[in-house]
Parts: sequence; C-alpha cells; structure tokens
Amino acid sequence: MTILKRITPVFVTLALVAMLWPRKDAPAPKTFDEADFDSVVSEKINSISAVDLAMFIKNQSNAYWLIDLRDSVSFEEYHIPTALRSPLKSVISLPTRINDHIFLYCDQEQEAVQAYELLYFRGYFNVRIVSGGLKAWRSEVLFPSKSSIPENELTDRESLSKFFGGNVLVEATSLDQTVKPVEIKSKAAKSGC
Amino acid sequence: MNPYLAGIGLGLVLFISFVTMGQGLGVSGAIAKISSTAVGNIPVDHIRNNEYLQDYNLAHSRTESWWILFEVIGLFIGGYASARMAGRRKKVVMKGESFPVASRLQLAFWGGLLMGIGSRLGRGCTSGQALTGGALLNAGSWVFLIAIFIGGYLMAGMVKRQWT
Amino acid sequence: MAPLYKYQLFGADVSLLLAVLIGLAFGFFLEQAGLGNSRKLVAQFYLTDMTVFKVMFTAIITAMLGLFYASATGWVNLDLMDFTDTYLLPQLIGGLILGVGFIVGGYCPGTCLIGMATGSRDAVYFLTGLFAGVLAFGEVYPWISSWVNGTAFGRLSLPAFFGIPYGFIVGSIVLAAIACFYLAEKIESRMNA
Repeated sequence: MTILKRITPVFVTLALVAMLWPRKDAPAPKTFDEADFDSVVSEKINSISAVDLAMFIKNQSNAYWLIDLRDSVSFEEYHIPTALRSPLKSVISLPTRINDHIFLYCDQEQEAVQAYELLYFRGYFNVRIVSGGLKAWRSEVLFPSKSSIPENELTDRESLSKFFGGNVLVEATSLDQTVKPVEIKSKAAKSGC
Repeated sequence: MNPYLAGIGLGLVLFISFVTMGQGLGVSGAIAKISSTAVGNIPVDHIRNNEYLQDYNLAHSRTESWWILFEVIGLFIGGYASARMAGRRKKVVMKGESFPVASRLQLAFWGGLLMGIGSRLGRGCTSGQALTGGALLNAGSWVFLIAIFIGGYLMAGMVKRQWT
Repeated sequence: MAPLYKYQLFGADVSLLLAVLIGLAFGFFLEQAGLGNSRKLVAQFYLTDMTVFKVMFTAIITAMLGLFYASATGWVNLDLMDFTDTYLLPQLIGGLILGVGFIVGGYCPGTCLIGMATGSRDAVYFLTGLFAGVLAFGEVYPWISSWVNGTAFGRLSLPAFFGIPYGFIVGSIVLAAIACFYLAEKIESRMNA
C-alpha cells in the first residue's frame, strides 16, 4: 500500500500530461528541399540481379513486395510470380512500410528507377530495382544460355529456371518463348506471439 | 517483490522489447512453434500436411521466427535463477489442502488444453495479447483481456474445491 | 530512430541474444512477483489476492506510457511495431476459453514455465496440456478456419476505433488503473479480514 501511494503521483502526473499533450496536427505541407532531393538522386541506386531475386522468391525466407510497373495488358500476359501491379504514380500510396523489402521492375529499368526515387526520397531504405528488368529475368532466370553460366552453378541455375517454368538453352535462340505462369504461395510476415 | 514494483519492472522489460525489437513479449507462440515442429517430423502425412501446424514449423522459417523461442528459453532460466536465489525452489503440487493430487494433475492438463486452444483462437496469451497488445492499445487485445477475466470469474465457483 | 531492429541498426544474431536477455528479465520479474505459484494466480478469481491484476496492469500502463512518450517525441515509429490483427469473435471466445483454462489449470503459458522452474509438478501437466491444445486446434483448424479468420478488422487500435486522441486514451486508462489498484487493495483487505 505504501508503495502504491508512492507511485500514484508519478503515474497520475504522466497520465495528465499525456491527456493534455497537443494532438499531432495534420502534417504541414511539404516544402521541396532541393538539397535533400539532390543528395537522394545523386546516390547510387540499390539493385538486385534477376537471379538473386529468383532465389529470394523461391526461398520465401522474408516478406517482400515485388512491384510490376508495366501496363495491365503486359502484366496479364506475363509477370514475375508473386508480383503486384502498380502504376508508377500509385507506388507511393501502396500500404507499404518504410522498412519493407520492396523490389521494383519494368520492361527494362526506366520506370523502376523513377519509382525507386519516389520511394527513396520518402525514406524507404529497403528498396531495390531489378537490374535489367523483365528482359534480364527472361534471359538470366527463365531462359539463360548454357554458355553464359559458370560450370559450378549450372545445376542450381537449371533447377531455378525449371522452378519458374523456363529452361536453360543450349544455344542462344530468340527469347520469344512463352512461359507457363507458376503458382507460388507468397508468405506474408506473420507476427507470432 | 512488491507487485507494483514487479509490474513496473515487467513494464520496462516490455518497453525495452518494443524499442529495440519493435515487438512485445510472447509465450504461446513459442509453444505453438515447438509443438508444430515436433510433430512436423512424424512420418504421418495427415499430421505432416496439416496446414495450420505447417505455418508454425520452425524447420523452414526465417531467423526472426526463432526470436520468441529464445525469449522463452531466457524466461525459463530467469524464473529458475530467481527462484533459486530466493530459495523458493520446492518439489510440490500446487492445490487446495484437501484436494487429491491425481485430480489436480488431471485438471492441470485439461486447463492447459483449454488454454492451448484459447490462445490459438485469440492469437496469443496473457503475454502476447494481454500485456503486449494491452500496452499497444490493440482493440482485439483489450477484448481478449476483458474476456479472460470474465471467463475466469464465471468458472471460479465451479472449481473452488480444487483451490481451497 | 526506434524500433532499432526495424531500422536495421542491428542484425538477426544480436536480436536472438537480446531475446534471451529480455526473456531472462521477463522470467525474473514474473517469479519475483510470485506468479509462478498457481494458488497465488487463481486467488485473483477468489478476490483474496489481487497480485495478478496489480502486476499485469502496472506493467501495461508502464509500457503504455513509455510508448506514448517515445512516439509523441518522435523517437519511436509506432507504424513499424508488430501489431496483431483484430478478429473480434474468435478473440472474444478465445479469451473466455483462456480464462476458464486459467482457473481450471492454474497457470497461463508464461507462468506455467515459471511454475516448472520453481518445481511445481502440476505446471508440467499444464504444459503437456498446452501442447495437446495446440495440436488439437491444428487438427480441427480446416473445419473452423473461416470462422477463426472471420470478423476481421485488421490493424485496429483503440484510438482509431473510438476516434479519440492517443494520449487521452492512454491517460484515461492509467488513471482508471490507479483507481482500480486502490479498489483492489480495499477488496483484498476486506476478503482477508
């Protein structure tokens, strides 16, 4: 009881201050800071190679956002498994959090770079673009030519490309092969308690 | 220790967990993970393919899923060390004086079983939901927290013989 | 900026070390409060010893105030905090079942480990029951999964639900808890008179 009496004033004070704490106002309109912008844009862009991305998707060892920035027609035609389509402008309004793993891709790299800057400027620090975009995904993951792969990685790369519905090509032929989309259950972050 | 001081200590531990890890404390999650991992290796397809238990199997999950298990190992050691230091370690069966030991042990098992089910339905137990979610002002946790006390008070009369 | 781990200020290895340390302190305070003793735990429900209530709510309001001030001063980003989604009905029923299990079994998952550590044999039976309960739940899950995942409200906090400022709710809960502590003291002394 004596201890309760002793802690009461502390808790009551903290409670009253909390109750009277000024409400967080709506965020003040952003002023554009050129120096900030310059330093963000002049930084090196973080990227992930198509093969590393494939491993990441295959292992599902971390929750991530894979964002496809192309139009809906191309997206329906083919997209990297587990990807989500988002137009460039809507990238900043996705329900992502600033520490999420985010991978961006488009046909090659332009839109991905733009989206990267949009997110990076807002403090997202785990964003990466897929180097070479979908083109690289086709030529490095789905249909890599045998001659481009080092001997010791061959079996791994073969199983990786099979996993995503492609196969290793003995000769470099055209990359117009069609791919059967594969279903991968993406693992969302699960909070256990 | 005075309950209020112990409570403040516990609250600070919880706060430190929030600030460093961005998550609170938990126990029932570790229990779910241990049991799922244990049966996950029984070569019976029916058990091995259980979709719920598979989600909790530690064998194929990332490092972060191990956090709660390490925390629970610490919890056990911490409790042991504290009891040891205070000279409170004693081989007993806790119950009311005139209640038979065998019945008490049976009720302990059934109570544990109910709690195992309840904690899965509620997504946590007294630590993961009531303490952690309570401090985070999680709406579901507060519903859960109040329901625990209601359930306990409603049932208390029926098992009074066990404890007095 | 905190939570430190979410801002990648330390890695997974350190996080596991921290897990053990946090667990140690957690177990220490539970045992010191006497919560490894099932008779003391259930006495809460016979109103003769309100330790459970006192410890639990002091811990909740302490951590709650800490979080409020840490976020109000911009030190902790609450958006990155793990936050269990709300599933109203399953959590209500789960809480009731848990309460019944508490008074029948004499422990909760955390305190049963403390009970074991202090040498109580009933705690071992309780833990066995816990494992059985989880497995039983996994067994019936396919039939009840739609109900278990129903009445979902996502990430729902009390300030958002009531539309009341965060600090005001924190302060009110703290004041209410302090008032309840005095009430609990009164009930205890009357029951033990």
